[in-house]
Amino acid sequence: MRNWMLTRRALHPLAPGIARSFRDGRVSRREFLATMAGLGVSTAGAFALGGLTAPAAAEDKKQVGGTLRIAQNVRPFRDPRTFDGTEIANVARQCNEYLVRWNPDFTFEPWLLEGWEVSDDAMTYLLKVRPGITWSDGSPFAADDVIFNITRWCEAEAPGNSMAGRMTPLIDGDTKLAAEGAISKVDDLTVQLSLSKPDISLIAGMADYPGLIMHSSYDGSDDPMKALAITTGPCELVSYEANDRAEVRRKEAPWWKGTFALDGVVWTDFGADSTTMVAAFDAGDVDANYETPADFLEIIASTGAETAEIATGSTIVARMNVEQTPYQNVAIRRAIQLAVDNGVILDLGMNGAGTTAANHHVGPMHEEYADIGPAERDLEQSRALLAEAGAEEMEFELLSVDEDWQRNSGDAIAGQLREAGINVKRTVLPGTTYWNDWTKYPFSMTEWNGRPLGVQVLGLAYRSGVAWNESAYSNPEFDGLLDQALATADVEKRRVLMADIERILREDGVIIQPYWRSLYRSASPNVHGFGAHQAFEQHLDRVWIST
Amino acid sequence: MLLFLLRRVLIVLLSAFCLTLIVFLLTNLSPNLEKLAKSEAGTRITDREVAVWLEQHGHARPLLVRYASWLGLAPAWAPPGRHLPGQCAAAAEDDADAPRYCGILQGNWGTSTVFRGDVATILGVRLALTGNLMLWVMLVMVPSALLVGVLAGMREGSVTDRTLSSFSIVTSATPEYVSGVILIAVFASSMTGLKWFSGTAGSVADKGPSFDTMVLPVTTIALYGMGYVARMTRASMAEVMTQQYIRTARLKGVSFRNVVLKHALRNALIAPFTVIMLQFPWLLNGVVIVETLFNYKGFGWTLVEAAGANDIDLMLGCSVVAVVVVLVTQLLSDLGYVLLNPRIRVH
Repeated sequence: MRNWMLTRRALHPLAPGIARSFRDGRVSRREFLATMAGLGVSTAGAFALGGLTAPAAAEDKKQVGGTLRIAQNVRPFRDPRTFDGTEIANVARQCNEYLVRWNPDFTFEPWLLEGWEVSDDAMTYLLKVRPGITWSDGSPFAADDVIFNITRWCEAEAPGNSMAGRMTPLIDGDTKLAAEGAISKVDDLTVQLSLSKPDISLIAGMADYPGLIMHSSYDGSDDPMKALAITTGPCELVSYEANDRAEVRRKEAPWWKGTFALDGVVWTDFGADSTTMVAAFDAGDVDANYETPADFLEIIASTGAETAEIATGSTIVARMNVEQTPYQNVAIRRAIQLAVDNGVILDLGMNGAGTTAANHHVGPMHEEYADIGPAERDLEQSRALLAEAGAEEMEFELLSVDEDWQRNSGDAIAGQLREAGINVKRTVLPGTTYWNDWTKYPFSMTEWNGRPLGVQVLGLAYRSGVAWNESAYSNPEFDGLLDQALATADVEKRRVLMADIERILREDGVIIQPYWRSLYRSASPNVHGFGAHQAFEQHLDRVWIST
Repeated sequence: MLLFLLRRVLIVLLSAFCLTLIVFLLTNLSPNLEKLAKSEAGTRITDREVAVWLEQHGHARPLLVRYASWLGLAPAWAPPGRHLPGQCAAAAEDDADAPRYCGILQGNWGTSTVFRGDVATILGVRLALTGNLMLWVMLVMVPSALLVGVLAGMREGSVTDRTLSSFSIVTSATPEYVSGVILIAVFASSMTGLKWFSGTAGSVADKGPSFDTMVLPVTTIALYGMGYVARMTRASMAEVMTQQYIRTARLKGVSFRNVVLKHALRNALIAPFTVIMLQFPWLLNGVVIVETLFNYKGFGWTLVEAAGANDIDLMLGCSVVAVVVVLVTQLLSDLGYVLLNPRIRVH
């Protein structure tokens, strides 16, 4: 009998059903792979069950050597569990590693873990630590290291710790720490997690960029040289000058995973203006970048760089804070939402580089996506709702940060509202002032990176009282259904719940979500394997430079 | 003379005190402190977490106490439960050795939050880079501005005068953020295909300056300042050329060339000299735009980054540097006056 799973257990009972849905075309490839990983099915197993051909790896021509220079912001370093941007993680992830990696083909690859096992009710997880990995100080990587990190993630009171939101079922509601007995050591290479409620997004959460695995001597220091002193990864940190540059070089000692082809990597900060980044390509000062904004695709091609594209769950929302005047009134929120044609925003804001979204923050890239129809522009109903609220003369202010596509999308939404006869004032703030109060703005634009599962995004952004819920949305019915969905591993059943969830979110008029973005990043033609990643992660162990 | 210098030094100190106090008050306004907390502890932290952070980092003490402790007149901030004062931590290895006072009077410029380092070190590195840029700007700008101004001013109303004046008006009327972008687009991008020079100077900080990287930033600043200085020189030159003694010299049969070089030039240079000395403080702040545009990581760029994240210690350090540069260049310009014009005496 074949072994489908990451561990030596029998095939998870839910897996064949999902595989059937996939083969019948009811579940997309991406959704299918994410669920399989969530259930502890190996990538090879998932490919076999789904009748897919595994892609052949092109490792043969790889050249060793060379330094890769990347144009990317170098934000001040901080405790990994509080990372608030992928940029810091891109430097740190060359030195330290993650339990699980989210690959650009949307599969989950066991990394520091060798595998995991999920019980049939999704209440118990067994994490198997990969044997044979050592820290740079010579001590072996073991179950205690995993426990140390997960326990840190569960400290919900630590300022800015977003991992706590991903580990909710392990956290004691009173102490705001890991619940007693939730994390336990089975043996040196096995950790058992006992959840207070079923949650299928736990593994995906561990692969997210704040989930960097730190050595047990780490004390939360925001000095990167201290934080990344003892590591498991292929590189060591050479320097980290915030807002300026960061550099890593390949360690002398062999890396457990094999060859890291580059001698080193340098990240240089070129500020917020992409024109400087393009000038750097022109000058031959950089080989690759963090992101190429859609407006710059043509000009960057003229420098000779090659651009890779990936369709993603990344998006922008114009969210209304339901606790602030006048957005407590659902009629006003709906009136604003109904006055906007999302397709137009995609064209004007993003040059059409993406797909239209439907105002509920779940999309076709999510496995449990239920198609409840597009968001229609309905000017008559919008006008009627506004009249009902007595707000025809009211002036609304839409804020956004001064960044190309975010500003353009905000302008396009304001344009649509004005066309519908609604008074709108547009305020564009520079990044330096925007972020100060951004969670408190009544009506503003927020960028969101994609997450593997639809329930994950909704749990992070719209559940009552969670850290990243800046719309202050709080609906017990929505929360209840979301909890139910999080406990439902069966995609078909979850999809039924999602239809209701999506409808509630849309009809409560919390967000205008115009489109799903395509993401781009560029590299010189002699850089191989850089590609694009749905969450801007840089997996540089795949990259090599030809001479 | 000594008294004069002493008076000037006192003015420097007094101005530095006033300016840093103002900068301190502004950077310590409550929204700015909130910004600091958010950029340090995470943009998504709650109001309560902001308050806790400010408390823990000593920003909850009375305003004047904090200012005095930056000056070094009040004890430095010590995190709760620790003997070691936080501000002094960098200065001492051991808890017991840590001094209680460590402000600017003790030679401690504080710690930058944006760059995570000692303010004095950061300012040293960044000022050296900007100094390099300014040196080249001055070397290009001053001779060419004087040449253009003198040529234009010696025969007022001639074709040379009209051509050179129009040129200087155009360059001084084009701000750096316009001329810089145009220069990059024409000489450094794939748009025109010329690509003669580099459109970014970010590598100067690591590899040192090269002709390729410095041409465009230097040209951008020099063009703007040149037009201005040339206009001043022209006006001054034109005025001198109408003086009685010049006419006398001409009537005595001195050649036009000698009249300009030996009789007119020295007097014509007095007014531009002040303007040129005023260019130093202007350059120090004027480089903000150019350094940001070319990603040249000097003083101006540092100022932008510091202001962006409300980096209190670094902003204060920048203000002290700015005050000193302004007043020292003014001092030099006053002394230079004496050399150029014997009628003026220092009192």
